[in-house]
Amino acid sequence: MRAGVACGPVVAVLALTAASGCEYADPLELHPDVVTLEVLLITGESEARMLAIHSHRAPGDGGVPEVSAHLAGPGWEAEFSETPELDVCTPVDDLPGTPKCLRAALPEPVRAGVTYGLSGTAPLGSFTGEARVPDPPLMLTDTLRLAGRKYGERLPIRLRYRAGPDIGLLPLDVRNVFETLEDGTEVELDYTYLGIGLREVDPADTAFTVWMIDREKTVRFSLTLLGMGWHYRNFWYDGIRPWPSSGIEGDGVYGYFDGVTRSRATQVLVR
Amino acid sequence: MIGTTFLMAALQQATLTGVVRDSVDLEPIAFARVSVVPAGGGAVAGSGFSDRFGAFVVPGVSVAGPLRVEVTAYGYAVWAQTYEAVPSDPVRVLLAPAPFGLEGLEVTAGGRAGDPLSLSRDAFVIDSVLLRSLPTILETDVLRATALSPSASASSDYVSVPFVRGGTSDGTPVLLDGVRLFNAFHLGGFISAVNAEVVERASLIAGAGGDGLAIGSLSGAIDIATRDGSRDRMRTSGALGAASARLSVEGPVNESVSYLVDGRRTWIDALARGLDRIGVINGSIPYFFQDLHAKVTADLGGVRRLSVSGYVNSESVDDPDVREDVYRQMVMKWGNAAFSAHYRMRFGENGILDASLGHSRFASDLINVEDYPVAVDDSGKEYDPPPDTGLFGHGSMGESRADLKVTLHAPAATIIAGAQATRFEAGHDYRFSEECYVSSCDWNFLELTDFFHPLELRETRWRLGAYSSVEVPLRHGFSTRAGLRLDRFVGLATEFSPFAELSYGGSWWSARVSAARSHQGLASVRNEESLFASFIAYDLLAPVSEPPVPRNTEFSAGWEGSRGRLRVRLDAYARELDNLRLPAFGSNPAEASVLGNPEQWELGGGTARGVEASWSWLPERGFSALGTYRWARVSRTVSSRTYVPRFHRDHELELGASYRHGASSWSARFSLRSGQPVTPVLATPRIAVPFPWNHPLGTNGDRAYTTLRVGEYNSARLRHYARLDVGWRRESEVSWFGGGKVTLYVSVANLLNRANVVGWRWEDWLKPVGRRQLPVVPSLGAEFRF
Repeated sequence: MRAGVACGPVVAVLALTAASGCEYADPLELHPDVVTLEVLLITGESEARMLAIHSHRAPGDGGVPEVSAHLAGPGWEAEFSETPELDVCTPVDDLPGTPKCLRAALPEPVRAGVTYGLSGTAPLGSFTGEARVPDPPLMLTDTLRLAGRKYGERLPIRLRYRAGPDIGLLPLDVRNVFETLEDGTEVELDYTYLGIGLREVDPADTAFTVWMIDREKTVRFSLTLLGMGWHYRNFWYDGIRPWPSSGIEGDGVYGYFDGVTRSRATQVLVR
Repeated sequence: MIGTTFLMAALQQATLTGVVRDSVDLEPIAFARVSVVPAGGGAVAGSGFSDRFGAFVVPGVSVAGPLRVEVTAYGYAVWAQTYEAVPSDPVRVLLAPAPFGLEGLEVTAGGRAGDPLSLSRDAFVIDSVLLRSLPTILETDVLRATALSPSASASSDYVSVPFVRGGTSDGTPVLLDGVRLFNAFHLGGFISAVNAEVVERASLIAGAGGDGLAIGSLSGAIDIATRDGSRDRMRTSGALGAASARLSVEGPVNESVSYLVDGRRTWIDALARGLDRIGVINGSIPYFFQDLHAKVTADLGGVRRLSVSGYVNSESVDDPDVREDVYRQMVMKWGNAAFSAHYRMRFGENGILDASLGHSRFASDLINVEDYPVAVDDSGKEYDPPPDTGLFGHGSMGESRADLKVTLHAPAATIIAGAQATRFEAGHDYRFSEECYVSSCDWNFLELTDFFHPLELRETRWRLGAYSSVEVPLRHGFSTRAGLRLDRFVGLATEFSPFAELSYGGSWWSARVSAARSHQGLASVRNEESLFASFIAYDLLAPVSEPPVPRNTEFSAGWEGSRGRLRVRLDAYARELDNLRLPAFGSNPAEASVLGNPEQWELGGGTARGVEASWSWLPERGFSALGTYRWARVSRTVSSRTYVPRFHRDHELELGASYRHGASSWSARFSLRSGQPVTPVLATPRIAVPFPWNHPLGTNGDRAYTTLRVGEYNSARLRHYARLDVGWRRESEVSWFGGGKVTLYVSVANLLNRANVVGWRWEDWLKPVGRRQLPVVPSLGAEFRF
């Protein structure tokens, strides 16, 4: 992007007539062909997905981003191809521009500790990327049994864990929530009924406490930690150049290329 | 033997001293030239200039027989007197105003100091006539006028106090009658706090050497001198302006003592309340400012004089209609007070002694009560917090000082020696509740966290200083000045600040080169990188708590020449600023709060270098013009990053012109500046993939987040700035109250309504919204003097 036109002091002394020559490009004028790429490799999956968006266009404005890309693994290469099923790549239906979902079938499942490469072209040039899928974080608590008290009260859930230095972000995930009704049958609940504030855990720490709301019923659920590399984290926080790597470098391409690995689950039972 | 002969000759020479005053109101006249020549003709036997109190000392006058003393000053008729011998008592020179038609405004009320370019080697001097010949923004403003100097740069239209040569306001104290006036403005910085009615002149001192040696700051000073009260009769003057009304009353107490009392009060609050009641606007503006200044001067004969001046102001945001509202209150009160006393007497045959005492204090108090929106606790549970105090704080800063200065005018040298003791105390304590911080504590669409940051700062520090300088004429038109300042920052450090200058004076031009160093023990809580720093000028200062103290090292060169009425001045400078307290480089400094805690900041530095040109065409009548141009490069370095600060513009051109015909005068001021630095935005990518876990992205509706990728900090420039202000004044003689003058004025600032953008802010992270500066602002009012 053009930062500005340099005007020497001599020119400026010539005053008003020189003023017209000192116009500056608007540094906030965003290029409409810039593409955001999002690639998150999930351990255990045999498919990679790439979401490409023209971030600087209004929703529905303009064509689909012209992106081609390859993913390279240990001894193999897989090509991304467009899929019409946009919801495979994103749950969001009001993205700018006309987003494009690409997917690549992989010859083997994504593995933790493996470094993958990315290359391709976008409307403003080529791009490359590299990401190492982090080793899984260790959940050091197998099972937790909690005694319920009173409806609406907050119950602490204390967990111990360990994460390696290659993990930049460590979100907590709540899954498989089941509540036992009075007749003894179990029904699955949305995790939001537990009132657990979803949070990102400090990868450098070794223990944390989350709070749930006592439903005065028997409830069981599982808690896992997801070890995510540094690229997503680096990208998520606003970046002033020079910014830390987000796994993708290229002309007119901004985004992240990262991997995520799930920990073993801790089973929680509340009676 | 030769030395003894020289000493004997010197002893036989006499010294001429005196005071130059206006013959009507006996106001001292500065910058008057005093020449002594043999009555029968011949070479000039001695010459000198009157100082800011009208006093002059011409040493080494050796005229055998009658001599003639001539005194000339801009706007006055020449005064001449013949004496049989050099008078041993001080001469009393009364200059008669000589009205002329330059801007033609009030020239008969006291004359004008002269061309701002030529009055001082060390300063750009704005006198009361030039002050009134500029188009106004709401009202005549002394601080805005100083931005005409090529050394001064306005950081935005909203801030009247300018920055000097790449420094910031904490390095440029505003002095009122010799004492520091904290936050010398009202309305967030828009209007200066000093009533223009009483300003004799304002000097913008750009450097650390010369006059700056006695100040001991990083970036010079703005030295505002008020006039003495009129000694011939009682006079009343004032103005009814768009924002405020001001009034001054002055007159003699007895033959040698005069007084001057002036005050000002805004009517923004009353006007808004009235418009609200009649339905023109909806809501009130619960804001006011007021200030009061008084000065008593005693002429004790000769150069002896005593003056005492006091100043107090207050500002407040306090809506009485919502005082009982437990859900939403905002009360802010702040104010300033300053006191100074100055005594002057002769010191020996050739010297003048100045002794002064001063105290200045700024205090603020604020509280914000708010009904916060629904919040989320640690467990993720929503709750409705009760109305509570969100932002509260109070603080004060004060400076007490004593100064002693001796000026000796020897035939071969002028020697200045001085000593200062300064005590600075600061206690600032501002806090947020957590809810306030989370919700930004907005108040009338103003997010208070944009301005405030939790701050607890308490520090007191003494500074003991001594300085001396000597000016010696050399041969062949050369002369030199040299000086040294020694500062003891008690508990911190002892610092030496040298100054040296070599100059040459030709028949129509002069040139000089100089080097100087200065220190100061104060740091500011302002983060000038914050976008909001462009909108609010308030500053809280505190002594630095640990060494090293901030330091300035500068080199400069200048050239000045005149042909007829045209005068041109060129200056070049290079500065290094060390040991500055600067905020650490965050993710986006422009989004940070204006006020931070310098004790938690990092040691940083800066550079500034530039070329300044100014020119004036000031004939005695008709069209007159004044122009300045400045090119500079300024940088700051902190956290290993070097960047151009947001307030800096590479090029600045200021043109002022006025024309008088009959009783009317027209004026225009044009500003053309290159754009301010801005960080270029490369992309606003959105994050929208489905995460393999239950992520709030997918649950609370915000399913896509936007982040920001920006280029090198402040590496691009906004579009250039241009503004045209115009003004018209018409003066009328009236017979009311025994006779006087009424001047009607109309001004329009930013006549072309150009949208000058000062910065950008990202609304919802989706689109940039430019924060523009002044729209077109018409002003009208009336000034009177009886």
